[in-house]
Parts: sequence; structure tokens; C-alpha cells
Amino acid sequence: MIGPVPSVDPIPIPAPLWLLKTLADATLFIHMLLMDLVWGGTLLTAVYCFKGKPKHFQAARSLARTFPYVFPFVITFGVAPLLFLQVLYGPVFYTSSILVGTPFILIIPTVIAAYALMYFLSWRWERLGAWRGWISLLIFALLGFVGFVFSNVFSLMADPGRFLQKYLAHPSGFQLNLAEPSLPPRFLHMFFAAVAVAGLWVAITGIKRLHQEPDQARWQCRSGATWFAGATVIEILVGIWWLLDLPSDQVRIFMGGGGLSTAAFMVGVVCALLSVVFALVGINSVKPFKHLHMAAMFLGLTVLCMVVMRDALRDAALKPFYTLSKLAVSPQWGAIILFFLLFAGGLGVVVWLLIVAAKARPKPEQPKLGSGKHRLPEEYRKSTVR
Amino acid sequence: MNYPVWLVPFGSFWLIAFIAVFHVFIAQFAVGGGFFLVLMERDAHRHDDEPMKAWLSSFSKIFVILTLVFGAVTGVGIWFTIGLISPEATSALIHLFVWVWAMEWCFFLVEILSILVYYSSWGKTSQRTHMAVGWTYVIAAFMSLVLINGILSFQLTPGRWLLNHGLRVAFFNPTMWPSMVFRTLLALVLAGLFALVSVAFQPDRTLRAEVAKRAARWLWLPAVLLPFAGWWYLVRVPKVQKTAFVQIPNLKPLGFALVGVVALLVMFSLFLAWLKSRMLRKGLAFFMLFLGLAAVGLSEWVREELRSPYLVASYIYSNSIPVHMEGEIKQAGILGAARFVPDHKLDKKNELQSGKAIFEISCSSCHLASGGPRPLSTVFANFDPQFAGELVQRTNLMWGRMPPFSGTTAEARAVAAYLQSLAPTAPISMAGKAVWERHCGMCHTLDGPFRPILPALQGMGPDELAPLIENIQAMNPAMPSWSGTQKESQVLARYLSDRAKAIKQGGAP
Repeated sequence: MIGPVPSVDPIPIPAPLWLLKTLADATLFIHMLLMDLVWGGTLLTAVYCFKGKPKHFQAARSLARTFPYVFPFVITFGVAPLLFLQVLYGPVFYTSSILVGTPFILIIPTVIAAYALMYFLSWRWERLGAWRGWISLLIFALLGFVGFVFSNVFSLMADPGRFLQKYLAHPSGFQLNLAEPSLPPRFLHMFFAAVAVAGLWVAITGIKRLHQEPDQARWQCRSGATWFAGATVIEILVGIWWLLDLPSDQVRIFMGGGGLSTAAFMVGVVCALLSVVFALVGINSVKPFKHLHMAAMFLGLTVLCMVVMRDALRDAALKPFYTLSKLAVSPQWGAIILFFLLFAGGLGVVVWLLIVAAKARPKPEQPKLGSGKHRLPEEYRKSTVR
Repeated sequence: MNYPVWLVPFGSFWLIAFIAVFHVFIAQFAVGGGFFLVLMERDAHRHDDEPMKAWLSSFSKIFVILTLVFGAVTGVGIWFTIGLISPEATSALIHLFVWVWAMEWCFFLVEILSILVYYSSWGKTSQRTHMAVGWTYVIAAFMSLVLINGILSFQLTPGRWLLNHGLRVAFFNPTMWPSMVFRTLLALVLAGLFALVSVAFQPDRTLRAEVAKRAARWLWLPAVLLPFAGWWYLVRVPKVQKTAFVQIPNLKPLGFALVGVVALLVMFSLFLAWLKSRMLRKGLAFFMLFLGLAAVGLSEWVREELRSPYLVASYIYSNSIPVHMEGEIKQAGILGAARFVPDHKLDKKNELQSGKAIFEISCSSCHLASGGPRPLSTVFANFDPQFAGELVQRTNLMWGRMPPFSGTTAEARAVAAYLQSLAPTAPISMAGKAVWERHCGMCHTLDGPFRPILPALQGMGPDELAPLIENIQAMNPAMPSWSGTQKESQVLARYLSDRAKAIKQGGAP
């Protein structure tokens, strides 16, 4: 009898499983935070643009400026966990992505369009007028499509029992995993997390300008923290919905059945509640900076716990079909060490580049580029140009 | 086989070809372009050339858009596509090279951040710092190319990895160095070409001519060296793969076209560099860029053709069937071994449905059954069923270096039956040439490079040839048995005898 899951690759896994899992989760954690900021941020930008008061525009402008700089890192930090995921879960991941092949490949042009629109929005902000809100909304919808397809692929991946039947129904991959009951809460969980992160970003970036523009800073703090708290509370409710939709053996791992996953669940819920409390206190506080940073820290911990829970949930769902511990492992230690050396070096360069970027200021004493003031002597060009 | 086959209506091979050429075009520009930018910037600082700095600043804006929005995302696109089309090979590459990709990721991270900082800090940092950021980008981008090149060249020439399965021999494979030099040269050429296009929109004519001259002087030498690097690359490809030039009909024209395109590029760049840099117009710039795109497309095409019939040479066939599983599949049959098929057993009732499933598994990575420019159903239209089945079993003997058909005889017949069920009914021509093409042309040429037949038939008349044709399998068991009519064998015998006489008299066959 041929099973539903493709047989594993004959080339052994080139690293200890815990190392691959740790790297996958760590990079996914960063990806989630950055992705939340951009995706939720585009929604807030649109909302602020439609509200149309100067304070709204200022907050929207500052968000829109951020996207082109953050989005390439959303992609980069999305690529890394997907790479490690393919090593660990290749047979189920490749199959589920093929079953959803057509929407899955459409992610690429969609991401290109969304990314190009981010530059368009940021660079043409002044000239776009009333279009700003609509373009932000369009970017939000495009990114929503990407997230929705990923939700489909990842939920189907954990359900190999349906692979064959789904393939035979649509071999061109023109389908999604809409029959999966946990799909709506799964997707909405991501969505509200995105709104929450973007809200907190608005509050924190606003409050940094408390001394320069106190009114704007106070307003941004209030608006952002309200979005954050509201979205987080809804997210907790959606999380409960998701839990209720899971089969009982999978719920059990969060209710005392699995050491790490139970701990992640408990800590995650507590941190989510604490982050809401700190954000609400921050709204009316004289020194909101500290409270908002506490909220951000607890939010980070919550997202980290979610990443760990997500991973545990996948392993629990796959247990009857695919078990990681059965995979052959033969670590390429030389390459692993070289990677960590490069990673450390790369991190150093990244820090230096961030310092350069932070220190970069227009130099007033220099003539504006292209002013023609310092035009080269014509003889210099004449000597070389024909 | 192990995985489901993603059926792209217009052919998955077109999808991967489009994304790959587009990505390689942009990604190699990203490597060469960085180098061009910092060297031009250094000169601009030396001469305190403000208009040039302004142009470089605007060029870096285009650079960011092209390399990040299109280059980076289409790179992910290639990865997505190969995972969908060839999950087996993607899985093998990822298992073997995950740490090389992880290292490339480190460089990629630096690459992205440095180009964003470089672009956004024009005139906002010291010249020294700005140049340092630029050089950081150049090094990171080049290292990305070096690492990815190791993986790409491995696919064509896995070399000793097939024996010892070590990462180091896989990465430093026989074509790694020539391929790296070739790609670097192409990257430098593309940088010059994009600069030409970008500056063609510049209203300042003096500046336009200045940049045109510099860009042309920049690109002509790497362009001249390209064919030499290509030659070095070919020399390093093992002999078996080089016979591809004989076995793949379009490989030689592709090679010549590549040299022609490069020659044109060199000619135009020499003209701009030393004769008339003021002649640069948008049309010329775009034409030269198109030549660059053609060079990328042709070189990638040659590489793909050389690699056939494998995805990873001697390890995984181009239809994703692992070489080591061939024997096992031969025994169980494709339907018996495949996981995602409607039925694991072939019988008369499900012949067409199973033929379709087998076609999808073993042929659809390179062929369409119907629709598209040359669907297999039209090729099979005029074969009789027995010959069609025997032909499917001999895919590895035909022109174009195909993987062997791994299925059973009955499965080959089912594929043929499926293709013929889609075939349009056309009148069967009894002209000599048509009979030749129908019965022999899939595996032979008359007097060409690939299994020529006429030299062996010199001096034979139609009466001698006809019985020979009808009993061909008795003479050579590798050949399919003759399944044509007696009339066809007579027409064919006369045609071959006439052609043989024609070449003896020094004419065309």
C-alpha cells in the first residue's frame, strides 16, 4: 500500500534537527513581526488617509515611508524559515504547495506588485492626493492574498490524508484549502496580529517625537495604542476560536500534554494580556514611552510563543503521517561552522550599516546634487567625449 | 513519481524559462551594476563632477527598484517554481546545499541593507563612508553569485559527488570556475547596458555622451571575453554531455547565435566608446539591452540543453525520476510506483486515463500533449499504434537527448494510445520524405550529424532496400519492428536509394 506522504529524500538532513528548528523559528519570528508591521501598516495608512485630518496624514506619511525599507527584510526573513522548512518537511510542503500550485505561484507577481506600489506610494506621496488611501488599501489587499495563500498551503500541509483526493480533483493546482475548518481563525489570527503590531508601531514612533510635536505624538500614541489593544483583544478571541476548531489530540498539547507547547501557550496568553494592559496604561500616562516599550516587549514574547506553538501544532497534526525523529541526519559540521562565522560577520556589517543610516544627514554646506554649480570644466569632457 | 505533477496548461517549461531568464538578467545586472556604480562614483569624486554624481544618484534609484523589487522577488519565484515543477530535484539540492543557501542568505541580507543605505545616503554621509557602503554591496552581491553559481554548475557537472557525496566536491565541481567567470563577465556587460539605457533618458547631452562613452568602454572587454569563458566552460563539461552538440539539433545554432549577439554588442560598444558616444539614443540603448537579454537567454538555454536529459546530471532525470530508482520503477511500472495516480493497475478499461497519468509523470515536464506550438499528439497522429508504443519505449534513442521511458511495455502503449486519442485525423502522405519522417526521422538523419543512415546504404537499390526495411528489427534489436505497409516500405526504399545516389554525386541528400 502506497502511503499519502512522498518518501523522504535519500540525502540525509545535513544538520541536527534542533538546530534547523531553532533557526527556522527564530527567523520566522522576525519575519512575522516585520510582516505584521507592513501588512497592518498598509491598513492603518489607508484608514488614516480616508479620515483625512493633518494629524492622520502625518502618521500615514511616516508609515508609508517605512514600507519600502522594511519590506525587503520581510521577504528575506521569510525566505530563511521556508528554506529550513523545506529541509525538515519537504515531502509534505512540496505536495501541499503543488496542490495549491496556481495560487501559490501567483504569490510572486502579487508580491512584486505590492512592493512596487510601496515605492510608488512613498516616492509619489505628495502628488497622489486622494489616491493614497486607495493605493494603501490595494497593497493591503495584495499582501492579504499572499498571506491567505500561505495559510492555505500551511494548513493543507498538516493534513496529508487529503492529498490524493485533492490532487485528483484539480491536478492544475487551481484550488485552495477552503474546506479546512481552522483556515478562517488561522488567517484572522495573522490579520489581527498585523493590526496590533502596526498600531503599536504608530504609537511608539509617534511618542518618540513627544518633545518636537507634543500634540501629534500624544494623538499617535492614543490612536496606535487603541488599535493595538483592540486588535489584541480580538486576536485572543480568534485564538480561542482556533483552539476550539482543532481536534482534541492537538488541543491537548497546549493543555498540559506537551511541556514546551503548554508553557508557550500559557506564557503567550499572559504576555498578550500584559501587553494590552501596558498599552492602555500608556495611553493616559505622563511618560508613555516606558509603558509602550513594555507593551512591545510583551508583544514580542507573545509572537515568539505563537511561533513555537505553531511549530508544535504542525508536528502534532503530522504525527500519524510524518515524524521528524525518523529522518536520517548527517550534519555538515564544516559548513555549519562557516555559516555561523559568516552570520556573525554579516551581523557586524549590518550593525555598521544601520549606524551609517542613522547618522546620515543632508549636508547643508554641499551644493545640491545636480545643481550644475560645480559643472566640470568643458575641456575635461571635451577631451574625452566625441 | 513520488510527488504529484503540477499541470501548467501552457507547459511548466515555459514558466521556468521565463522566470529564470528574467531573474538571471536582473540578478547578474545587480552584481555588475554595483561595481559600475562605485567605480563611477570614485571618478566623480575625483573630478568633483556634480552632474555625474546626480546622475549616479538617480541611477541608484532605478538600481534599487530593479534589483530589489524585480531581482530579489523573482529569485524567490525561481525557487517557488522549481519546487512546484521538480520537487524531487529541489529537495535533493536543498538537502545537499542548505548551508550554502544559508551562507548566501547572510550575503543577501548585507546586500539588501547596503544597497538601501547606499541609495538613501547620497550626499548625506562622507564620500569615504558612502564608497565603503557601495563596496560592501559589491562584495556581498558578488559572493551571492559565487555561492549560487556553485549550486547551478553542480546540476550540470556533479563530478566526484556522485561517488563520495561530499559537499565540498559538489560545490567545487568541474564547471564551477568557468561558469563563475562567465557569469561575472555577463554581469559586467549587463551593468554597462543598463547604464546606457538609463542615461539615454538624460536631457543633458554632454553628460549623456560622457556616461555612454564610459559605459561602452566598460562593457566591450567583458563582452569580448565572454565567448572565451564559454569555451572554457564547454571544455570542462564531460564528454558524454558534449555529445549533446550532435544529439540536440538546435544546440549548434544556439551557440552561433550567442557568438553573433556578443559580436554585435562588441561592435556597438566599440562604436560608442571610441567613435561617437554622442550618437547614443534610447532606441540604440534598448536594442543593446535587448542583445544583452538575448545573450543571457541563449547562454541559459545552452546550459539547459547541455544538462538534458537530467536535472542533476546522472542523478535525477529531467522528468524528476531519480536515476537510482529506474530499475525499481521498471519492475513495478510507473503506475505501480507512483503515488498520485487515479489507478495503480493498468487494464483495457482505464488505458486512456492511465496513459494520461503516465504521460503527465514521464513526459509533461518538457512536452504538451495537445495545444501549444508542437504538441506530441500531432507528432503521433500518423503512427500506427504498435509503432507508436515502440517509439515511446525508445525515448532515450531519439534526437534531443530524452530520459529513458521507465515504464513497462503496456504503459508505453497506453501513453501512445492516449496521445493518439488526442491526435487530429489527417490524411497520411505517401511522399517519400513524409514516409521517411514518419518512420525513421525521430531517431536518424539522412546524412546529418545524428545517426546518419545514407552512408551505410551506398550502392543499394530500392529492391534490396525494401526487404531490409521490413526486417529491420532482426538486424538490430534496438530498432522498433517495421509496422508500415508494403507500399510504404517500397516508397521509403526508393526515396533512400535516390538520396544515397544524390550524395554520391556530391549533391544535397
